[in-house]
Amino acid sequence: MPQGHETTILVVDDDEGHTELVRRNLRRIGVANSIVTIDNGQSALDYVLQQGHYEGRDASDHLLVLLDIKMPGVLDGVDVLRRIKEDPVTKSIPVIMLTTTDDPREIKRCYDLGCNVYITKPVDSMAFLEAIQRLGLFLSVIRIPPQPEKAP
Amino acid sequence: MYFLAARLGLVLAFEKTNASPVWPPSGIAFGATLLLGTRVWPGVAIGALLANVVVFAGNRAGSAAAIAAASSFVAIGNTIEAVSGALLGRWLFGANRPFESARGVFKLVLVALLMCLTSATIGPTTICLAGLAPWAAYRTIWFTWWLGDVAGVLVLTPLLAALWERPWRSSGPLAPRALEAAALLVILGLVGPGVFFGWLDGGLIRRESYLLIPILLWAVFRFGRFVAAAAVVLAAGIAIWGTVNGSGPFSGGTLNESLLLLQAYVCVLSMMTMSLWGVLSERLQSEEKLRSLNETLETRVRERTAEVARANDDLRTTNVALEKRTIELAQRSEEVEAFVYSVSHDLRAPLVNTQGFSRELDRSLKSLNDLLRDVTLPPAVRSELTDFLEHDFPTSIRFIVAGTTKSERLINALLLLSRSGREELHPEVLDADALVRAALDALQGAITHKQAQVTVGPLPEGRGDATAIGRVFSNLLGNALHYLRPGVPGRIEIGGERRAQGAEYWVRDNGSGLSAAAQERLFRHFQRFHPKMAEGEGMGLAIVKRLVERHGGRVWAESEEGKGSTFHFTLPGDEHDGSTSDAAGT
Repeated sequence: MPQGHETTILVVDDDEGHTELVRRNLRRIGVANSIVTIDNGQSALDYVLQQGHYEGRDASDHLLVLLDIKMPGVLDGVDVLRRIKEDPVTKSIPVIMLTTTDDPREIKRCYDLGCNVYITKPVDSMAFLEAIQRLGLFLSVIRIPPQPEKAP
Repeated sequence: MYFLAARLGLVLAFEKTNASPVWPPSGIAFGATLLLGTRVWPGVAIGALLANVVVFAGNRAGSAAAIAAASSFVAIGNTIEAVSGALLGRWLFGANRPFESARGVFKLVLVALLMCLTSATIGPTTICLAGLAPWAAYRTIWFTWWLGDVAGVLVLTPLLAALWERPWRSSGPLAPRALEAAALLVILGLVGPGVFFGWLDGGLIRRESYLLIPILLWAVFRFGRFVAAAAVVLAAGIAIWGTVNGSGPFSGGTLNESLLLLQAYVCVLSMMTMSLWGVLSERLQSEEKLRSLNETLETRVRERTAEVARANDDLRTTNVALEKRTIELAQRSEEVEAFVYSVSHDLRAPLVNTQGFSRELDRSLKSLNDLLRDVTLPPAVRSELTDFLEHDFPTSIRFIVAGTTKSERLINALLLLSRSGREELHPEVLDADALVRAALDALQGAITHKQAQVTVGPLPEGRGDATAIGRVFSNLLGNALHYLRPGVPGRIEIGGERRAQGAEYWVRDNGSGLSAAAQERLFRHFQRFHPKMAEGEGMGLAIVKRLVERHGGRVWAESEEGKGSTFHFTLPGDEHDGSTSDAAGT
C-alpha cells in the first residue's frame, strides 16, 4: 500500500463466513490495512457516497472496494457498481468484483459498467484461500487514488 | 278381344291376293301370344279359321267340305305357329325384351324364321292335299307362305310390342320433335310412293328402293322404337301397295319374282331397323349404366374424401396435442435441470465456509499447541491436554473436513451432470482420433501406473460438440482404467465404424466386467460399482448418457463378469444438432 496514506478496504458481502475468511487470509499474507465489512448493497452505497448512516464519516484515507454480486435487499452488487461508477464524484474509486458467478456475460456486464477487476471466487476452499492471498499480494503493489471530497 | 285383333289382321289379309307378300296375321298373332301369353291361342285359332274360310270361299278354290277341312288344318297350323313362337321366344330370351339389344333382335329373327316353318309346312300341305292348289306349285307356295309369315312377324310384331309399351306416356317435350316427326312423315309420304308408285324412275338400274333406308335410319336414330316400327309398317305398306298394283322397282317380271323381291325387301327393312334399334338401345343402356355408376362413384368418392378429411383432422389435433406435450416435457426437463444447477451452485458457498473454518480451527489448534509447549503444567493436566490437542481435536476436525469434502464432490458432480444437460452444444465435424488422444494424454499418469496397453483403431469422423464428446471419451476411458484387474495386464481398445447414418464408437477393456444386475443399473445417477472410484462419484456414465442422447445417439454396454466390458455409443449424422435441452434426455 502506498506510503503516507492508509487505504481502507471495504468488503461488501452478505456471507459473514466469507468476509471473516477474507479478513484472516489478507492479514496472513501481510495486508495490514483497515478492513470494513458491510453485508448489504444499500449500506455499502451509503458508505461509499458518504450519505445516510455514514454521513460525515472520516474520509481522509483512500478507499478500495471488494464487491460481491449476490446480496439480499433491493440493491445487488451490480447496482452498487453502477451507482458508484455513474457518479462522477465516486467513479474513480477502484472496485474489485469478488463473486461466485463465472458467467462470461455477467463478467462482461461488470466490466462494461466500469469495474476495475473481476475475480471469481473459487468454490473449492483451498483455491479460495489461495485466491485471497494472491489478491492480497496484488493489493500491496497497486496505487489507489484518494477518496473524493463529499460534494456540498 | 284377342281374337278380334286376330280377325282384324285377317281382314287385312283379305285385301291382298291369295298368296300375300306379307301375312300380317302372323305378326299380330305372334305379338298377341308373346305379349299376352299363350292362353290366347283359342282366339288365334278361331280367327285363323274364319279368315281362311273367307279366303278360300272367296277364291272358290274347292268344295265346301274341302274348304272347311283345309281351313281347320291351316288354322291349326297358324295357331301352332303363334304358340310355338311364343314358347321359343320365352326359351331364347325369356322375360327380357328382345328389342332392347342386338342379340335379342337376332334371337327374335331366329324365332320368327323357325316358328313360321310350322305354319308354312302345315298350310301348303293341307291346301294341296285338299286339292285347293296343285302339288307342282308346292315349293313356291311353301316358300312364299313362309316368307310371308316371317315378313308379317318382322313387320308387325315390333309395332305391336312398341304400342304395348305405351310410348306416348313417357315422351319428352313434344314441340320440336313433333315438327321433326311431321317432317319425317311427309318425306316418307313423298319418297315412299315416289319409289313405289313410279314417280321416281331410276331408269335401267332400279335402285330407288334404297331411298327408303335413310328415312328409316333417321326414324330409328331420332325417335326410337315406336316411331321406327310404325315407319317400317308404313314403308312396307307403301311398298306392297305399289308393287301389288304393278308399279315400283319390284314389279315387272313374274308375280312370284315380284313377291319374293318384295318379301325380301320388307324383311330386310324390318331387320335392319330392328337390329339398329337393338344396338342403339344397348348403347343407351350402357350409357345409362355408366352414368348411374358415375354418380354412385362420385357419391362414394365424396364420402370417402369426407372420411379421410375427418381422419386427417383427428390426426392433426392429436399431433398438435402431442407437440404441446413434447414442448411441455422439454420445458419440465429444462426447469428441473435449471433447479438442480442453481441449487448445487448455491450449496457450494456454505461449504467454502465450513471448509475454510475447519482449516482455521486446524491452524488455531497448531498455534495453541505451540503456545502450550512452553508452559509448565502438572503432568496429569499435561497428559489430558495432550490427548485433547493431539487426538480429540484433530480427529473431530478431520471428520468435519472429510464430510464437507465429500459433500463438495457430490455437489460438483451434480453440477457437472446438470450442466451437461444445459450447456449449449456446438456441433461440428469431429476428429475422433484427436479427441481420444487428448483424453489419453490427460489420463497418462493412470495409464502408466496401471501399466495398461492402449490401442486406438481407425476412427470415423463424427458430428458433435467437441468438448462434450471429449468428455464422453474421458469418462469411458477413465472407467476402463478403473476396472482393470490387478495382476492381469490391462488392454484397452478404442475403435469405431461408419454406420448408415453417422458413426459408432466403442471402448473395450479386459477388466473385471459387470454382472447382469449391475448392467441394468449402469447409467443411473449415483451408481458406483468400484469401491475406489473417486472422481465423479458415480456420475460419469449418467453424464455420458445425457451428452450422447443430446446428440441424438445411443449408448449401451456389453459386459461379461470376469472377462471385460465394451461400451458403445453412436453419433448420428446431420439432423440431430443438440440444443440446451432435448426431450429425449432423462
